Amino acid sequence: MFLLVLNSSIIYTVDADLRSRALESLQSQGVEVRLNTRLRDVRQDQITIMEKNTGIGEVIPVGITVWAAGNAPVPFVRELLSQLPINAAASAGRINVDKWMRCPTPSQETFGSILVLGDIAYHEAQYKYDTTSEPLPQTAQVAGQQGAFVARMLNRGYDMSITPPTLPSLDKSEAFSLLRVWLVSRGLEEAPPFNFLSLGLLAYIGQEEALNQVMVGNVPLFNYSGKIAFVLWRSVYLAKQASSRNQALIAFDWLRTKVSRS
Amino acid sequence: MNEVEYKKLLNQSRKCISYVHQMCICLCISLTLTSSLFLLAYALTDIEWEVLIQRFLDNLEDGTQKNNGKFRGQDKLKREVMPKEERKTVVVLGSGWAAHAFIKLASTYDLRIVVVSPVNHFVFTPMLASAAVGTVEYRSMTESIRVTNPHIDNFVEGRAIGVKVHEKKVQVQLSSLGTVTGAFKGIAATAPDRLEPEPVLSQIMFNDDGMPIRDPSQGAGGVVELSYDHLICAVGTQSRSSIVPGAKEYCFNLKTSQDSKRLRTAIGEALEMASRPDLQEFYYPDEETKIMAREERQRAVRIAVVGGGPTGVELSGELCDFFNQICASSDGPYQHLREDVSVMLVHGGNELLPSSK
Repeated sequence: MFLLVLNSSIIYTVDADLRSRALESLQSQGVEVRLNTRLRDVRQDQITIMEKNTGIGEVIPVGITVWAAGNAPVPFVRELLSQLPINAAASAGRINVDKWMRCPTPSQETFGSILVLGDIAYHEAQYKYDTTSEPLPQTAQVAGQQGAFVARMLNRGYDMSITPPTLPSLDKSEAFSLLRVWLVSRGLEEAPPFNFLSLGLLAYIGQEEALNQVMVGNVPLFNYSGKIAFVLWRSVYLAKQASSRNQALIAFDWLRTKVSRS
Repeated sequence: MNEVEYKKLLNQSRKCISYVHQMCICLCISLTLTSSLFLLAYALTDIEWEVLIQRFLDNLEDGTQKNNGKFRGQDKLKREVMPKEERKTVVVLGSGWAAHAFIKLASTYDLRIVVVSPVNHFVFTPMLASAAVGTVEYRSMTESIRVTNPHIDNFVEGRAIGVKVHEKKVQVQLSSLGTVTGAFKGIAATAPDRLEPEPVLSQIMFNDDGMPIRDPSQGAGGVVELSYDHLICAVGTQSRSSIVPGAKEYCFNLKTSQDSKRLRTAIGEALEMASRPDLQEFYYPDEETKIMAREERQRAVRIAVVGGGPTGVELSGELCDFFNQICASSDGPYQHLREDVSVMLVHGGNELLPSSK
């Protein structure tokens, strides 16, 4: 019950070797890993856990407990859903959206005025060779791509109230703008639906080792684990920073930690 | 057969052999090449080129749209001004990954962008675990919304509490700016710290059928109504620790920069607590109390991480690194706790990290 793996889609699957590598690495560092175990109860100085298969409970005295298991939409989402028609509610308190990130609205006039992005948007996608469609995972990658996608749609001036969103018809006074010519030449008078391009997963596992799973769409390119993967992990995270100021700060932080902590 | 003829023959046979050799190598190379080409072709047909190419063209477009001298309704090249009334108003709720990506890319010439969020910065969330043990500082992984997007129309520090879909209006509960209003109230020197975490509690109460109950006095102050043409709802999720009894009260989260700050402080305090004289065996005469002191010391610095997803795994790894550096090394400040610190990872699945069912 307690760790509901909601995002079990193919594109968010980590390679089996990498998973066992993560487990081995953590165990070799002395982390006591309890698999198939549920958290039953938390008190100020102890936690109660239960092995799933055997049902044997155990009380472990702890100093600090950190919750990194499940997330749920913030209360505002409930408030928003109460204003929307019943078909807007998706599983786990999320909001159903169409291929252009629009959620259903009570009236036709307001359709397209509310766009839902990120973890709270429930968007299904179908992949090559798949017969069933699956919800997109709740990850930063998905959220970032959705944000950029919607920004582009609004920049280009698509009329969001029609399906699919289309460029408005030209007024006489309006000359052909460069952007419009560019879009028409790309065949984008109608807005393209959102396509998620999975780039894989990076995770740090301690002792200057990391896991890399690099992929394009649903095609895995390579899987690495270890020191080389750690170098890639750090370079990607450094490159991903939005400002060069933060890049400098992080590079310096890493250097400082390498020399000495505290 | 004389010697010359023999040498000639030998030469020819050698040549022949080398030919065969070369042929073999060529064949091998070509075989591997074709097979790898086949594999590559296989992979290439699998890659969705259409999506990739469109994404590439989109990125080209983004580059030209961002630096075309048009921002905040002003066209610097043509010296034209787009009046505020003609621009569509976009209210963005949230400042996480989706909202940040949107604000960074959206054109401030065509759109009036108003960002509403209880936190005034974007957090690079994969580094929360690193920040919780001090590998990076908070300031390094956060970016101020106003600083990185100077041309947006406004940033409103507050929490969305209600929406009127028909009227296209959203109600925002403004954050209390305690430090500056503290001076106004006459408690300037003892005003609550701005960085002190505000509890992530909703202003919205729900009754039994799930309908929101609104506090009538709430609208009196601090609530503003913003009208929008497009509402970008990227409010995200919060920890769902309430499903386990006690977890909400006694668990640390790792969702915001304040969470990682709090966890970092807690880890430091736990180490300090375990170093107190009343938890050292040295001060106790009899065996029984010695054991009790040791157990209590070990409890204080035992950290349980709940959840074996990427966050849980990264945090466990970072914690181990941290303890190795400060306890296990010979010049670490907490080397007396070398035997006591421990990290535990509790996971519901049978393997770490997400996998297909």
